[in-house]
Amino acid sequence: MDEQIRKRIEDDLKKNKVILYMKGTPDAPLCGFSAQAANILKSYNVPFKTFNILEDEAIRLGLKEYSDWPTFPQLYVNSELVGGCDVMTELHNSGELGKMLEKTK
Amino acid sequence: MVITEEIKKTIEKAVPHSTVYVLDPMNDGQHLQAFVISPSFEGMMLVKQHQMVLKPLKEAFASSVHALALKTFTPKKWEEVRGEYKFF
Repeated sequence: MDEQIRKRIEDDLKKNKVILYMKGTPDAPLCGFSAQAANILKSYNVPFKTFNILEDEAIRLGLKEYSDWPTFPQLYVNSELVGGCDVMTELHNSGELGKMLEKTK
Repeated sequence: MVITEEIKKTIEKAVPHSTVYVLDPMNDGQHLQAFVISPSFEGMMLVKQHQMVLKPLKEAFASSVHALALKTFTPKKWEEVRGEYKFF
């Protein structure tokens, strides 16, 4: 992955404490898992940014390498990969996701 | 080899002392489910457990698999919840 892409990713992660890289947008998700992930985030009143990876191939490929995670969505909180839809759902159900998001306020 | 078999073998190799079940509920070879039980998950963050399983599957994702619904358990946790999954 070239440095320019890595830098763009890292800048985005620094600027946004909670960012969901997904397929489509929260209001027009293009994949069931992305929709579920966005809905989970909406259930917390915490501001979050989303990034439609289908509109940026370089970021889409760069992220897979950056996070060592082969699929989307990918949630990052405080620049740390929290996980994909499965992990988010489990952490949401166990209450751990709420605690993580509280820390970003 | 059937994709579910291929994935099962790949995960077993990547995760020490693992018991692996891979299912194809929609029978399409694209939307798969995997249950991975291993003592090596003990004390490991959930995202790290999943990364350990997903890392060796990059080629599978690049070629045919669209999504893998993944559940990871330590043996102790699996004993607690296995009843919830009817196909066991």
